[in-house]
Formats: sequence, structure tokens, C-alpha cells
Amino acid sequence: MKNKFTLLLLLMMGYTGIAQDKKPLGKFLRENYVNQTEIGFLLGRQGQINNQNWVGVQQKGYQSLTAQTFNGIKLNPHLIVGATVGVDWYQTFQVVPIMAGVRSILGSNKDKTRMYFGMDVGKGFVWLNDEANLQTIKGGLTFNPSVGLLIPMKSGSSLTLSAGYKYTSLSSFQDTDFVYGTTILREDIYKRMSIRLGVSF
Amino acid sequence: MKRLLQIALSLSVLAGITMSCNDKCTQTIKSWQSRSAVYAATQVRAGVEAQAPKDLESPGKIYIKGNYLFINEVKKGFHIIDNSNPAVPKKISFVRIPGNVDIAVLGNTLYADSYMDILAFDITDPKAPKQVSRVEAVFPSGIIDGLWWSYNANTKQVFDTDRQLVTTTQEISCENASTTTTNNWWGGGVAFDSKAVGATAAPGSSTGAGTGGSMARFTIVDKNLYAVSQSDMILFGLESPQNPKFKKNISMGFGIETIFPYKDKLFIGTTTGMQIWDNVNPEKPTFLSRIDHFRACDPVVVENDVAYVTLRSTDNWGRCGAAQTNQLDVIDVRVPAFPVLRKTYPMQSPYGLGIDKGRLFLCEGKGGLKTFNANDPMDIKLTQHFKDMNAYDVIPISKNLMMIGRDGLYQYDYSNPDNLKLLSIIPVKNNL
Repeated sequence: MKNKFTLLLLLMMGYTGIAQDKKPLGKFLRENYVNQTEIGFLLGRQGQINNQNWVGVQQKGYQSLTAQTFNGIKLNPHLIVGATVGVDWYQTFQVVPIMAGVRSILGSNKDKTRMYFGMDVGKGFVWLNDEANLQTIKGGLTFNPSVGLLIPMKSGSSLTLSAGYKYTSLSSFQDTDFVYGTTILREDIYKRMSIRLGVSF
Repeated sequence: MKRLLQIALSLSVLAGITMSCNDKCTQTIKSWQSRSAVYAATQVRAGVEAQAPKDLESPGKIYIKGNYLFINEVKKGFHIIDNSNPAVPKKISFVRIPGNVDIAVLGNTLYADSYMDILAFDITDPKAPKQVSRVEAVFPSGIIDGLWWSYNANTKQVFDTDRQLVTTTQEISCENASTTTTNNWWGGGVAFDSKAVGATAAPGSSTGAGTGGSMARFTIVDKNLYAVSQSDMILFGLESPQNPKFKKNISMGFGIETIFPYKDKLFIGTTTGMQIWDNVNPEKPTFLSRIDHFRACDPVVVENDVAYVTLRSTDNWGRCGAAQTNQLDVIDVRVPAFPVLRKTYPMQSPYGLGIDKGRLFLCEGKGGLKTFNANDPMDIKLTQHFKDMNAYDVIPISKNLMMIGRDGLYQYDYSNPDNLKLLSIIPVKNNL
């Protein structure tokens, strides 16, 4: 629901942006197309786990690789809206987030390093995971607010460096054939710090 | 200044992020755990009581006699349902019988097991069934719903096992598989089948008796009640219906499960195959033949000299062995001394089945109910598949299909066998 609303909002913003511009749509899109491709890490931890079989087991820190690409349209010098697709390699599950994204750039001097805020909201799909017999894996909400730097390069593109907070939820259910079999529902919520390096053009 | 502010803001955001970066993974395990229980025989025997109608909780086998429908409540007794209008079945009463799974009716007398004993009830007034007699200690042991029970005649005690669903929710490691606890919880899978796999018997094949399923362990032919236990067939004389008499114990071998009367034969389902016994003289059944197959659970129904047997590999541990197949076998029994396997159809996880005039009804457990056109047994065609229920046991009788499963009792009108019409549902309370 939340992501649908965001998507709608972004579409509306996009629409008014385009409408204000008197240029033909195709040309407008070509001239204002922005791509940002990043690779980085999702860092997290879990602290102690207390369950009846494992009392006070200290978990190590978690590091997962993440890659994503954002494609958007610059509506004005400070606002880009678009969509983000990526892959997050958590150890137990791999997630393909598909998100609506927005980048808000502070400052207007393109020759200087500028700061930007980013927000991506969507669903983490779990297509990359092989389901075991009678297992169902379901993706859930994922969002990623971030702050970053746009560092201009000679080519006119920018190097980007960002840090953010990445939330991902998913669940897996292991059903059973046995009438008196055991079922296991696993619900995962990953709250990670994201650190990414990328290029934007 | 603005720059500084931006940096400060970014740093504080970063700090906040780092503080709240905690993964949380939880695991909710639902498993069945068994507990053993010991009951004194006197306690078991004193537990019989006619009660007011109740909701279905854990229904087992079904049995039909005239307008009445009997639904076993596993190990607890049976419900009596007035089914004169299948669209509006009415619960009339409940009879509490510890350790009851099987029922058979002759005239106005109902026979029911209670662990080691067999009881007779007068059901002339189905609202108030009366216990009229009891034959003690005829079954030494048995399996109910996948769990063994046994009777020790010396100490006069019943050793039984209960099962309950246990739900545990706990935090687990998100990325370190070794801290998950799944392995400690597996291994509870046992079968439903000894309580509810059924099918049909041709109504009227035994005068005055009702209709049970293909997985029934009781059947009545003429004035005889046949009850199969794990290894024996026990014959009771019903010359005086209210006073069944133990006649004899016929040894049949290992893994006996079901008994299905057809013409003057008895079809016995075992875990290793199907046996055919000649029953020309109902007092003295004699072994005719057997046809073996892989170890599996296998209810049998027979129509027009064709026996339909289902083999199931899922959900049969502890009872039927680890079979590799899920299938429907078509066996030619025109010459009962030489049954011949004619054809095999693959199935999902077949439980009980029933046949009526070339229409085959097959329960697939969680896979629901399937109906087939079996006019040509060599070319059985699927006509309908109802998926949204758990189906275990069917009895098709006079255009009314009764199907029992975990969700309750479903009744369908099959006047048009290509398009079944749902008539009514008696739901199960507290469906797990």
C-alpha cells in the first residue's frame, strides 16, 4: 500500500514536471535521463540470540554485497524521479528489490561536489531463491533512504558515494506433506546500513 | 556555514542508521508431539456415555445406515447425524466411547470398538443410544491415527499415545544456519489413514447392514461381523444382534488394514498388497489369492469385477513403510483366484476412494477431491477437481457423495456426475 502510494505520488510529480515543460516528450526524456549505478555493502548485526537451543549466542557482524541501478528523469535541477532495480546478496536469501526512487540534489554548481538525498521504496522480490519442496518464499517491503555526494568527473559524469539505511523483509514457509508433520515459518527483517560507490550520468 | 550544517546533518543520520541496524529473524515452528498415557481398563469401560450433539473436532471414518450418518470422532466416540435431507444434516447425538475408531450397523444395533473391546448399542432411538453388550479383550493392540496402543490383559491397562500441536516462536540467526533449530523438530510425521480412508461398499450387499468405507476395519455380511486387526480377522456371530458372540480368530499375516465385501468375496487391504478371501460360507472365510505391490497404504474398492487400489507414499510413515509411488491401480478380479494388474494411473497423494456406476471419487488429502469417469477402467478420465479442502474419505451412495476430511463433512449431489453440486458442509470446530 505504502509503495503504491509513493509510486502514484511520483507519477503525479513527474506528470506536472513534464507538463510545465513545453518541449516534446521524447526529447525531454532524452535530455533529462539520469542513470546512477552503484555497488556496495549492506552492513548489519544481530547481537545475542536467545532461544531454547542457543542461549546467548553472540552473532558476528553481517556484510552483504549489494548492486543497484537507478534510472530516472530530471524534472528540475534538484529533483530526479525514477525506478531502482538491484540485487542484494544476503547470506540466506537473495533479494531483487524493485523500487520507486527519488533523488534530491542540493546546490546547483555542477562543477563542485554536491550533496543529495535519496529515497527508494518498493518490494524485494525473491526470484533468485530456489524453493525447496513445499517451501514458499515471499518477498516483502523494502526501502532505502540515503545521503550521498555527487563528485564531478572530467567526462561530465559524476562519481557517487552514499550511505543509507536499508530495510528488507521477507518470509519463508516450509509446509509439510504429513498430516502430523512440522511446519516452519521464518520471518526475516534485515535492517542494514548501506554504503555504496557508483557513477551517475 | 550551510556546508557545515549539511555535514553535521549527514553525520547524525549516519549515526542513527548505525544504531538501528539490527537484523531480526524469527522462526515459528508448529509440530506435533506425542505423549504416552496409561488408562485402567475399568476407566476405559466406564467412559461410555450417550451425550447431547457436539461439534466435529477430529472426524474419522464415516458409516451410513438408512437416513443416518455416523461420523467417528477419533478415539472419542461417534456422532449420529440425521441425514434424511442431505442439504440440511442434523446432529442428533454423540456417544462417547474411549478408543473408538470403527463402527458398523446391523438393523437397529450398532457395533463399535473401544480399544480392546467391542460394544453393541441399541439405536432404535438414535437420540438415546443404549449400550446393550460388550465383548471384552478381543483386540490386543492397534494403530489409531498412526499411533500404537496396546492392551495388557494381566495388568488390565491400556497403553496409548496422544498427540498435540505445539507452536514455538523464537529468534534465530539470520545468516548463520547452524543456529536454526529445525533439525530438532522433525520426525513427527505419522499417518491419518488408519482413521479415515474410506470408500464405498455396494449398499445392500449385506442385508440390513449399513455402508462403510474401503478402509473400514469392520464389515457385516449376513449374520457375521468381521473385524480385522493388525494380523487377524476376528469373526463375531450376530445371530442375536444385541449380543455379539466371539466365534473365531483367523490369522491373516502382517499389516492387515481394511476389509471390503464384494459379492461372496472379502477384499483385504494390507500394507503389502491385496488379499482376496472366499466367503461363500460366511462362517469360514478361506484364502483365495493375493496380489503384491510396493509397501504402501492401499484402500480398495471393487465394482464390476474391477478392483481399484490406491497406493500412497506421502504421509504413511510408521504404518505402511516408505513407498515410492502415489498411484491408482486397476486390478482385474474376474477370476478372483488370479487377480491381474491391468493399469496404473499416477496420483498426487491418494487416500480413500469410492466408486458408483462407473464414477470414481478419489480423495487426494491436501490436494482435495477428484472425480473421474471410469466407465472404461482402462481409460479413466478426470472430470472435476475440488482443490480448496482436505479430503480423506468418500462414500458415494444413491447420488449423494459424502466426503470427510480435516475441514469437516461435505455432501455433494452427483445426479449429474460431470458437475457435482455441493449440498452441505458440517464444519470442524477449531480446525488446526
